[in-house]
Amino acid sequence: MNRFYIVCSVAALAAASSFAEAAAPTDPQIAAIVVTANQVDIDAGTFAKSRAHSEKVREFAQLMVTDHSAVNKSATELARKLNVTPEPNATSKGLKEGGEKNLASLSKLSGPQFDIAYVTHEVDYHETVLEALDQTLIPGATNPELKALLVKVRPAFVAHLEHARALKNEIAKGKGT
Amino acid sequence: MNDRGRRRFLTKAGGALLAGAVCAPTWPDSPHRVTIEKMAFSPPVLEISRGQRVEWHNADLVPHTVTDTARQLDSGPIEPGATWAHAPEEAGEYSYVCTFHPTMKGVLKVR
Repeated sequence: MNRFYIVCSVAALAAASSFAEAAAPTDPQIAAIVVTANQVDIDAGTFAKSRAHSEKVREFAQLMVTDHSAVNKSATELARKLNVTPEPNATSKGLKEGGEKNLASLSKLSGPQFDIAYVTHEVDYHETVLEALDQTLIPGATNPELKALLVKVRPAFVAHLEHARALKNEIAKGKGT
Repeated sequence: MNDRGRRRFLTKAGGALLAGAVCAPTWPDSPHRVTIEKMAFSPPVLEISRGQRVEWHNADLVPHTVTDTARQLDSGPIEPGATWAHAPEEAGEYSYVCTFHPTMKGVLKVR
């Protein structure tokens, strides 16, 4: 796996932290970042379900599709209720581009190589999402309901990160089949 | 209705309400509740008597399940905001997990 693509696809979220230093994202921008971050992982999971070598990695990919789709459903419903239109911004655009590059990179791989590349990316991705949630998105949200949604979704991202780390260790030991 | 009739009516109505409050079934017929929140079962351990109803309410944003290893408890997916109820008839200790998120664990003790 080319490490460059992993870095690219999570760099946009990492930028969300420094984004706060220049100008705190508005609620419509935060909504766009959340929806895009979830969609990027849904797309990666959808691809991995059909391409992964091991059953455990396919199950993990399905879980990412299910959970991130559920989170996006709640985020979209809340945005509609609050009459907030997600506003694309540098971070959300960077996330989208990073996700596309990640898929392009993954599409060149197969077998166990694909599994380790996908799961490694998932570890990095969830670490970065959590950092962005803690440092930028949760502190930056001004609407109480939007902030509450971000707080509520955080434990799921923690669980995904632990799951991805455990899976990565199993694959490294040759048990992730 | 004159004043006397109104007083009699109110006295009867008040008495009926009081009787209802005293006789209204509460425990043990009220179901026990486990809340699924922050990717955990709360309370993680619950003890009940046989036949008592337990409700698992999913307050998270993602689907969960309540599934024990022998599949005597098996909710299938519980969608966000939904509730699954079960009243076990057999005594025993049921250790269960969410099959989607296996780090989530709970125990149901049935006396």
